[in-house]
Amino acid sequence: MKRRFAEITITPSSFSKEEFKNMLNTASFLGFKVVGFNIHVKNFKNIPEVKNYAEKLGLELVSRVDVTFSDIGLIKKYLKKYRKKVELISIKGFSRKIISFGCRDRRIDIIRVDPHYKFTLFKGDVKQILEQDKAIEITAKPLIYAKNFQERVRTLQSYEKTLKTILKKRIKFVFGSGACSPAEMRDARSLASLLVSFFDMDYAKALDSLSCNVMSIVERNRLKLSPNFIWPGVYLLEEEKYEGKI
Amino acid sequence: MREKFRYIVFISKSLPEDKDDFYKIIVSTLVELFGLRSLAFSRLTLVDYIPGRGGVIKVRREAIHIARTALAFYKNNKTPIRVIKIAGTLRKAKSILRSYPCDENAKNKGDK
Repeated sequence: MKRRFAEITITPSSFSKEEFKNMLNTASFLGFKVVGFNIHVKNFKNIPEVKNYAEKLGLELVSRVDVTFSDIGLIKKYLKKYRKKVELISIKGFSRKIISFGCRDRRIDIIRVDPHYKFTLFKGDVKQILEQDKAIEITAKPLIYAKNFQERVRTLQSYEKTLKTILKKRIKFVFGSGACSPAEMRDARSLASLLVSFFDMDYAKALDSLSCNVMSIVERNRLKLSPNFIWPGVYLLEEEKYEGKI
Repeated sequence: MREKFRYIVFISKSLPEDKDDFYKIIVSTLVELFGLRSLAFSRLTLVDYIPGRGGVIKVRREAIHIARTALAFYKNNKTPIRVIKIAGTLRKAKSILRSYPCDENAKNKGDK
């Protein structure tokens, strides 16, 4: 079966309809089939309605929200508000406390790696990520658009360390461009090549991070959001009216 | 043993007018990222180039990922480069480049 590539790491800098349309056009040009915008909860209400336009281009839109705050109470408040509304919830792992919380809380699907902050995964974190089928996200933007070579080296070191743990422990991971504008987006196979050439990764695994890994999380959450979902493992298959007497 | 090459067909609307300018950027990116040894062993050459459309890069089969990474690191302010096909012969690569509709909303018919 042909792979359906997904780009869920786009982080728009402006919230105009034109900018979103340009990004969708570029995603279609680059051969993506699924697109998701990574938007912070504070800006979530400013997103323009572009679902119809995406459908016209043959793209599937995924709703995603980022709940990064330094206060855990605030994160919990927004998780409660958005978990039953959006398909993906992510958090940026910028401190030990937040990484630990992100791994522990079942409502969070993706933990983002920012090379500007120290990212460490402990034994317990790995166990919880595997149990809850979460994913770690890394992006190509800090590598491609590094200001100087020191910054690029630091990013490579950080990613190498994280990917080593991910591959060793068989954790799911998501890769993307992390683009803020259409010019920063890259096609899926080039991004996979980047992983292969820098981190000696298997090409199939790199492609999985841009297709299967994303889709499995999205499909699982869509099922949870559907009215047929009752409890993990219990689903309503068919609704039938019973007219007889019990 | 005989060396084997592949031809990377890429398209982008915003490429420099001069072929040498583009080649220099790609080569310097490759050297910056992977070093002189990788550049020498990859045997990278730009065999075909159409400014408003795209081009074809000839590279050793073992260095495809390196060349693709160098293309991914090419920065411009308009549209990114998209690799549409990795062909086995130059004739095929050239025909794909010339026949591909250079429209942003075109169907992704060149995908591997």
